[in-house]
Amino acid sequence: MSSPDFMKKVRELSKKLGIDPDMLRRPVNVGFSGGEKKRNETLQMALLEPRLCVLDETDSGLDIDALKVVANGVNQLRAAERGMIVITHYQRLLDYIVPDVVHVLAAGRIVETGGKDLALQLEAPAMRSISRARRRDERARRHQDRAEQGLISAFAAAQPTLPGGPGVSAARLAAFEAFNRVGLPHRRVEAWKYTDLRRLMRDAKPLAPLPDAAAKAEAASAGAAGGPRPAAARGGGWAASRRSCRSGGPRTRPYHPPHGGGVRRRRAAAAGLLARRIAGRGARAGAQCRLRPGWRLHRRRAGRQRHPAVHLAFVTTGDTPQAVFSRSRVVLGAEAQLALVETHEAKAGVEHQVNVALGLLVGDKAQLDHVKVTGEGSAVLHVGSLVASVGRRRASARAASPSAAPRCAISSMCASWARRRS
Amino acid sequence: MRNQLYVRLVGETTELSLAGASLLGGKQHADTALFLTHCGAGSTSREVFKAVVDDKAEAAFQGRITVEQAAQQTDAR
Repeated sequence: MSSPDFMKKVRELSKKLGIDPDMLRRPVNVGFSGGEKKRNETLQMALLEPRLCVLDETDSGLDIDALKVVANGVNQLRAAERGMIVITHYQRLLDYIVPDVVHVLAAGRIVETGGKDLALQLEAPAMRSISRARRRDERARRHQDRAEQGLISAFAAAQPTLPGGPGVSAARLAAFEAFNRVGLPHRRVEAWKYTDLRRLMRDAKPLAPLPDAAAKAEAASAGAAGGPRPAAARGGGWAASRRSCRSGGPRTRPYHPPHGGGVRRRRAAAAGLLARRIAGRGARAGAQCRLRPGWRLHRRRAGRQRHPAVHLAFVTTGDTPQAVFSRSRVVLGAEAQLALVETHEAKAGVEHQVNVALGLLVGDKAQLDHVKVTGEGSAVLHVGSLVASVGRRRASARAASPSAAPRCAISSMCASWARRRS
Repeated sequence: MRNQLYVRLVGETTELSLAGASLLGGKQHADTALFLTHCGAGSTSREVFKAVVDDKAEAAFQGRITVEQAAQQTDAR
């Protein structure tokens, strides 16, 4: 832009913003009043045509007339392609610059968000008390309660030993950073409004160590003593599962049920929030099995086959409270059928913290029956997650004829009861 | 106790049945959160959750069923 064109544009904008042209001949900000400085800044903003404007306390030190001039200039720059952040401590500016969205900050955090009406409510006594309450909560949040600190420390210590490739590690780290940012879920989170985990978890229990011989014996006796055993776990499929578990070990072993086919059992890739390599002291799957970070059941071969029922029994042993994290995944290929029973048991009266996650991936024309039974007792804090994806999305809707449409069925039942303290 | 279920019915004409039962007493707490998304057409889903509470126990259930635009002819309850 040439100098004459530039000066022409400056004069046009000055006239539009109500700025005296004589100001243009004065040295910048020399002898300017507060209002004149603000008008000069508004002119500069108009000339620069920014995509984002940050107006930090632009109404400070202004009288009503100057305020109107500044507000007029800001309003003339409002456009769909331009964003403006107006920061102020007083509501009067918002009489002239009507906001689209209002954020209320307290102690450096956004505590309330609303429309333009929110600005009018800020002076109300009720809003002040809410703001005080939120500031109080934020102060508590800043100090990060013991449970969150404990979980963060435990994860940081366990992170080098956690399994998984670079992708899993990256996902785990992203989840950890999200947790570090927002903390435990609490009642103000819509999905957790009935269960305030931040209040329920007073502290973080130590992570459960590898099961030793005593823990394995305790787990085995817990299974032998009885307890909840769904009917689906009995029968030939259960016996086959038991046999395979005895031959299983920490390394990957193929599992060959009498019916044929193949279900491979692997150490699960620990992914997600605070996954830990060890499932729990004495935790086991099936009878006499050693459970590591969870189970991954994968049906390899295609074809219609029915696999025997698989029973994943998570038994947390020990008399001292501990934290158990386990991640399991079941991948069911096309036309496969599987009955999966998942049980959780623990000694009564011990305040364990159990966080289990099960991922189900069910292919086309497959059928999965899943039953989960939680009978750990009232002292255990149990958080269970089930993430399931059923069927496969077709690339082209035209290619699939109605007769060839896949039919996937999944039925999942969760039964839980907490044993009463005797 | 908190149970949360995230289920996506991606394929077409899928069938899903979810059921839950809780027996609580004392000061126990059970919370079930279900988030179901229908992505494929012609899918069917059924949800039945029952809770029996005694003394000062609490049972909560919250569910959300999302039906995407491509999920025509969805039957979800």
